[in-house]
Amino acid sequence: MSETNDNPNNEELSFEEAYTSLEETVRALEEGGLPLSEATRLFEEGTRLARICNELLSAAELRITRLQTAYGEQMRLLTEDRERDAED
Amino acid sequence: MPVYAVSQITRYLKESLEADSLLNDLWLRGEVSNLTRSAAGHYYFTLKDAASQVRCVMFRPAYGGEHLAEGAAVIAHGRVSIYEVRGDLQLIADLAQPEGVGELHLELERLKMKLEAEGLFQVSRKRPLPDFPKRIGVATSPTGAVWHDIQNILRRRYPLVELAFAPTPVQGDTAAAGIVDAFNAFNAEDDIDLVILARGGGSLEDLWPFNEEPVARAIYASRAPVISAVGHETDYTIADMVADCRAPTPSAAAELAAPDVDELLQRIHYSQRGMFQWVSGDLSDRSRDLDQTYYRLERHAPDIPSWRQRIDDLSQANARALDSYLTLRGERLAALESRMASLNPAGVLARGYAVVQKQDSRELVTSVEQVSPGDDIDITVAGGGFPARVTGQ
Repeated sequence: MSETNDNPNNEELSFEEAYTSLEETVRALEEGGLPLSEATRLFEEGTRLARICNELLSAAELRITRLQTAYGEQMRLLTEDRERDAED
Repeated sequence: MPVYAVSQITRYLKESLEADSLLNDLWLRGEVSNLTRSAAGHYYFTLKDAASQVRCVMFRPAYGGEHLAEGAAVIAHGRVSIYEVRGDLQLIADLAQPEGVGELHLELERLKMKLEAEGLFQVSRKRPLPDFPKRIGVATSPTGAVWHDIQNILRRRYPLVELAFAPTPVQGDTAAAGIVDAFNAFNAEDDIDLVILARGGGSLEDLWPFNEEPVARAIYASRAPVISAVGHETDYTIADMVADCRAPTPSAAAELAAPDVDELLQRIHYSQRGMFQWVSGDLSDRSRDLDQTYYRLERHAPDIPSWRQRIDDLSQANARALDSYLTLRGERLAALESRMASLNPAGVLARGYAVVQKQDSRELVTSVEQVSPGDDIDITVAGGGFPARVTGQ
């Protein structure tokens, strides 16, 4: 895990980062052999990551951007022409 | 008048033939005869019609070589050259197809052969799709169901993603250029991590742009891995063969592109539950260990109550012993006292005995030999004493 992921105030994780960290945390816990204080800390961290994942998933809304392409430009001009024709 | 050597003229013929634009990219129809196949896998045969024949050689990998058979009507592609050693004219074929397939099909086979030889279809260069794409480039027609299906599926399945839409015609003469342009737009963005190139079903002619070389090269050159989804499941285009992943339909492409949010929520739930179970299991293990250790400690610790008990017991025993000792002593003392009492001379005197002492030496007279007549003696009896004199023996 990187330093930033250990920062309990860092809520700016992407879903991928949070989910990957969550998986790593669970794996570390399952491997065992950790001192109690470390296991407890990991558990808290994992719980926090799971919460972030859940929040990110439930808050997400599909975003769509339209890239500039020659064809797109052509279509736009065509539409404008048609609109202009309609106005005439 | 110049005179030429044979090899000069065969060389000249070879160069002339190979410079001819018709002869160096020739489709030739004919019937196969005199077919042999060398141990190295090259085919040697003749193509003939009613009037003429041409020697042909087809070197490995000999695309479509399976269509060559004695008497088979085929169309071969290749270039015409001279085999200088024998001065034979021959077609160096690189592709054979059965006669009767359409022109589009022939072109398709030829392009496949070329791109395969260049390694565009190699499985080893296919890139893995990202587990959690952030921005997916979508190249398809802005009209029609495909674009809507892709949006709907990803909105439901993985709304974390952003779609970067590059509209392009997907059929007709402008389609190949439009698709290439879309790929250029994707490559110009720095954060597109997956591309979907999609089109609904159609005839071979409708799907043709996806068999064109510029499209194949654009897919190959894409910075992000590409999922192609062209037509129906049974349609197989060159775009599908170059793409990193082929989806049978556009909807399937959208599903392959991203994980499903419901599945993720479930996995997160299991992670949480797993962590909780693990930690509580760990805690109960530790607590059991602690109990056992405490028990062992207890077993080996000095047993204070029992020592206390033993001390108690001992002191009670001690007291009892002292007690009985004292009792015993008391009894013995009483016995002694009574014996002492019996030995008291006063008691004896009281019974009528007397104590006789010589007057001068105070010696007790216990025997008659101690005295002679005339000796003065003192006689003590109960209640007092008196002097006396021995008068005889």
